[in-house]
Amino acid sequence: MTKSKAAFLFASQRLGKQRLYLWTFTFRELLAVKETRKRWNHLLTLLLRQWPNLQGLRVFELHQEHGLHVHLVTNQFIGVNRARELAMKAGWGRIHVARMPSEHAGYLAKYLSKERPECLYRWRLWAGFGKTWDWTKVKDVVRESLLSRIYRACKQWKNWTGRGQFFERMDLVRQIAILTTEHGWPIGCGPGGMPYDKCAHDFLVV
Amino acid sequence: MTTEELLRHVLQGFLVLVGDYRGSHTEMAGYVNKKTGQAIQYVRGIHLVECFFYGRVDRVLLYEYFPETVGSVEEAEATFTYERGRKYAFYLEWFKRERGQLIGRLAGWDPEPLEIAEEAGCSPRGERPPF
Repeated sequence: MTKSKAAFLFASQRLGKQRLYLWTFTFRELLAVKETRKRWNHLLTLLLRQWPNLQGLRVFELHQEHGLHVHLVTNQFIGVNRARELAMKAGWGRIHVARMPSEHAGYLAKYLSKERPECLYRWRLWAGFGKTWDWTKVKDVVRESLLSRIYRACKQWKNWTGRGQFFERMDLVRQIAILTTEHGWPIGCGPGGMPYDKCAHDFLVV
Repeated sequence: MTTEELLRHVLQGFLVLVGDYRGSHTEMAGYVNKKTGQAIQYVRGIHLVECFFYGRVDRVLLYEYFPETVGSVEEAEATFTYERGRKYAFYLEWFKRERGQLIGRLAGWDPEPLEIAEEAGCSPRGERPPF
């Protein structure tokens, strides 16, 4: 699971305490992804103008045959006919809506598990929208794992600041993770529970 | 598992990695929401395996994800009955090489110890060579 997917699940849990609706917006014709994004921005503006209290989450999905389309989870019933009119105005085609139990709010996360297509590189695959609700952002999520704990211990040891030389840092962290697994060291410490800065250099090389 | 069984599985298309088991680490991994304190947790095992990869000995990290029925690290650790230094066949779901480090994810089947008859490099201690 990626950090982004975890943040989405937290956000959907938050949204999911209320009654939810799952929307799918697609096009009749096949459009380029940039054009789709442009039309989504247009549609979202129209929707929020019509229903200013609308809150929800949107996910982009690149379909194998039908190009990019948008899934939406909202916590408020909005008139389908009016939504369809707005969608037509923004250049969208088919609209589908279904009620969704709040515990299924994480369902859309399955689209985030798929491998990211190259054309969506650096795209925000999901986002929240609407006023007066604070959805979970990726920066609000902390990962807890063997690597992340060793990284934090190394950060303290080496006084790492900023994000420079990230890959070199990760090489060191991975090396120490291998040694920790092989020799059963306590996490974040060297042999015998010694802090890394007290260990001889040879101990920390695979 | 014998060599014939291993070969049969490979020919059937199973993704198998054969290597020496070196150790394991089990953890309660997951994500914590800094704002609300909510957590998503799962139990995960990391196995260290040594194998030959493109002509050199390489270390591979294999991740094993446990189902929700396994609720603690201790329960997961109880399933590890592997012998350090022994050769096993590990069934993989996927593997990749990330910045020189080979990593993979174990499939649902448990690793199988291999029973491979190895050819002796010399005669047993105190015995005359056969030729």
